[in-house]
Amino acid sequence: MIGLLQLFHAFFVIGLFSFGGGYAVLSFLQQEVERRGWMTTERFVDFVAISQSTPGPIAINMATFVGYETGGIPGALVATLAVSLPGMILMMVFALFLFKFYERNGTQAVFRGLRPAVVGLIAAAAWHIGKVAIIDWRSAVICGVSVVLIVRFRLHPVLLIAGAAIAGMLFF
Amino acid sequence: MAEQTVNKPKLSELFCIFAHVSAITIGGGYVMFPLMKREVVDTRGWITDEEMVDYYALGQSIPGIIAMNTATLVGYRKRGIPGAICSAAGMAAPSILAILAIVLFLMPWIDHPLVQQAFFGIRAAVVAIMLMAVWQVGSKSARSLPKALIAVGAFAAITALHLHPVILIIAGGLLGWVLFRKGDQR
Repeated sequence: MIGLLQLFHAFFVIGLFSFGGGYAVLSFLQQEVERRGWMTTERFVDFVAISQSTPGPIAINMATFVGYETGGIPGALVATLAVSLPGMILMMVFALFLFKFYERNGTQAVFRGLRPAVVGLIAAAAWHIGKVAIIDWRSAVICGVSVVLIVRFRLHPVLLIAGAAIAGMLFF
Repeated sequence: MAEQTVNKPKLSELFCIFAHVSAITIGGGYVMFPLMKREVVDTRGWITDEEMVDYYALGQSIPGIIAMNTATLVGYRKRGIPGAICSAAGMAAPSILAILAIVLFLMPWIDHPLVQQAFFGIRAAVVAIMLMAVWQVGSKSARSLPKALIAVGAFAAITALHLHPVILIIAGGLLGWVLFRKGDQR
C-alpha cells in the first residue's frame, strides 16, 4: 500500500499540469502508473475502458480507480480530491481577477503553444496503449472497425465498448 | 433565453444539479457541455449563454478536469467559495460511487476467461477512441506547421526519449510565447 501522502502528491501534480481535460489527464496518469509500477498497462487500459462507460468525468473515474487500487477507499478519495484541487483553486483565482489575464496576448500565445504539446501527449498515450492492446490481427480489426464506426456513424463510446466486449468474447 | 438572473440557489441545490449532470454524462467532457448548459442556463437561468461558453473555454485552458473546473466556476459565481466546493463535490460524487461499485462487484470476476476475452476486444476499441481524441484535439489546436511540429516533437520526446510530460507542457508554453506572441491568431 502506497502512502496516502505520496498518492496525494502524485495526483496533485497530475491535476496541476494536465491541460486539455480527460485525455490529457489520462496520458499523464499512464506515465505515472508506469514509472511508479502501480499496475500493469493491461489493467490500466481496462480501467480506461470502464471509466469511459461509467457516469462522470473520465479523469475523476480514473483517479478513483487508481487511488482505490493503490490505497483502498481512502486512496480513492485522496486521489480524486488531489487531482481536482489545482484546477478548482486556479479557477477561483481566475474568477477573482475577472479574466483579465486570459484576454492578454501573452497568455493566449502560451496556450497556443502548449495545446499542440497536449496533442502529442495524448498521441503518446494512444501509442503506449496500442502496444499492449493491438496484439494480433483480430484486435487490429476491432480497432479499425471502431475507428470507422466513430468517424462515419458517430457511434456513442458506451455502445462501442459494449460492442467491442461482445466481439472480444466471440473472437478470442 | 434566460437573461441575467439574480436567483441565489441553495448550496444543496448546486450539489444536486451538478451531481445530476455528472450522473447522466457517460463519455467525458464533450458529452457533458450540452447537458450542463441545459440544466444551468436553459432550465434554471443561473448564468447566461455567453457566460457558459466562456466558463467552459476557461475550464479547458486551466489545468485539471474540464467538467470540475466549469462546475467550480459556476458555483463560485452563484455562491462564492462554498458554492464552488458544493458544485465540484456534486460533480465528483456519482463518479466515485459508480467506480467503487464496479471495483467491489466487477473486480472479483476480472480474471474469469470470458471477462478477459471481453477486455481483449474493449482494449482495441479504447485505442480507436484515443486516436479519435488525438484527431479531434489536433485538428483544432495543431493546424499550422509550427504547431504540428510541437505536437510531433512532444510525441517523439515521450515515446523515444521518455521525458516527463510536465517538461513538455512547459516547453510548449514557452515555445508558444516565443513564436505566437506577435500575433499568430490561429
